[in-house]
Amino acid sequence: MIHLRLKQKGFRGSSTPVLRDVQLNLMPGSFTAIVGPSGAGKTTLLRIVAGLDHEYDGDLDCDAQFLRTAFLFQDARLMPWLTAARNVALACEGDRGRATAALHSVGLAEVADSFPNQLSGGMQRRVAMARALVHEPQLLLLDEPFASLDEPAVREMHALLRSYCQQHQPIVVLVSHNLDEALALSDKLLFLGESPSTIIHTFTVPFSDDLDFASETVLHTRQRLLDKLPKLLEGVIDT
Amino acid sequence: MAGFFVIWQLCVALFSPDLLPSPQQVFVRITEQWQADELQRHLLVTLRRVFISFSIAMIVGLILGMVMGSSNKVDVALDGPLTVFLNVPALVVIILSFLWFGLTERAVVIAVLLNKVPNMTVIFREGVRAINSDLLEVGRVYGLSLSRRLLSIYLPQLYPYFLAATRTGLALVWKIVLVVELLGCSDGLGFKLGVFFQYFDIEGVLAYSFAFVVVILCIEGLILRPWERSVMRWRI
Repeated sequence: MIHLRLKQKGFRGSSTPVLRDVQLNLMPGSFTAIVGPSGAGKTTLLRIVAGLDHEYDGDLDCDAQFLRTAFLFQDARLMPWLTAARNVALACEGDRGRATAALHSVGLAEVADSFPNQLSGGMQRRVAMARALVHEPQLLLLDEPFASLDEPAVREMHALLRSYCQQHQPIVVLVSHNLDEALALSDKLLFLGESPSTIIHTFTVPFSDDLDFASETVLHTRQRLLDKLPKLLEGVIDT
Repeated sequence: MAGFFVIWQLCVALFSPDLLPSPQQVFVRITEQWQADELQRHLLVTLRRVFISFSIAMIVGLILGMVMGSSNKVDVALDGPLTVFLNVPALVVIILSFLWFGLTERAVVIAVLLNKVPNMTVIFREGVRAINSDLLEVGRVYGLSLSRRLLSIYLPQLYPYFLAATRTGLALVWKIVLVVELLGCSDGLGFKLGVFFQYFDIEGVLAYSFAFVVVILCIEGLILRPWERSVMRWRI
């Protein structure tokens, strides 16, 4: 379990903090989505949980270094000099077999020997996804991981993520600009306000994983959120 | 290459043969020197000096460059001496090395190092400054071991700089080694060139220079190019 008590987080050269008074309790098997406007410090929060940012006021109970962690960054961050397969293999002690299987699971087995600059942006993100899952993380941090993917690929990635979560029960934190994606994947939504931001609303998703957006209850819940947080959700949903 | 020999031959026709011997004469001289076991002996001595001083310069330059590139404090502290050594004339360093360390192999290596290390340091410092820290973060998050991070993430970002340092390094090192040999050695190409100079033997100068150029081209074609192709494959 991870417990973060963040009193304040600012950046050097800026007098106003980005985040203040944020508390997070993350249990194994939980899937938390962080939703909020641009510049609210969502990525910063994720980096603090990952142990990549130590310059803040507060404390983190279980640092990510004690957990096997995978981070899907906003950009794919593949090593340009390694082939897709070797990029994935970095996260599984160089095991070529497992890397190839992981690439197969994201539908990219045929580009195993291609270099990242020979792949499209969407393909690179899928390679990054394969690299994250092959690591078998106990803590999985996702920073808008599906932003540049087309609809079928997004559905495929969602399915893959769900099946991983069911099997391994990791702690997952997702940062998303997309309310429907957050509703579909997570079991808890945290809404961050404008900077300096804090959690202004916590919402527990009342339905199961296979969300049907045509169903009455789902639409009703979605509408309730939209009514409650109109200003905040501007630009966060696809209408 | 053929064009080069044609131009050479044309120039021979224009100048007196005393000033510019023909390619055939130079080739005959190379063969003679080779058969007399002279050419390869001096060539090997020079190559050994080039190789030893180049390798040490590369290692020292890499370490200094890495330290200066990653620490601001060290960079500020060493930047002054670095600029001084970059600009001290090679000849001064060579003469001082011989005066301090005698006409020894050690003096040769030290003279080359003092000339070459600052250059390599600058190249590697720039390389380290250009390292993409986002990629290093990936290594940290995924808990890669230090050696894995170094080999798979850190050093590959420095390969273009390794190549640049090797190319300019070899070119500069062998020029300096020749001057060092001319001034204070009793063997090596530089020494031989000095002897030919005293006898006004242009044919000899050209024969030895030509042999050395061939060796350098072989190093470029057989080692550097294939190495570049393999580490830069992803850029294609």
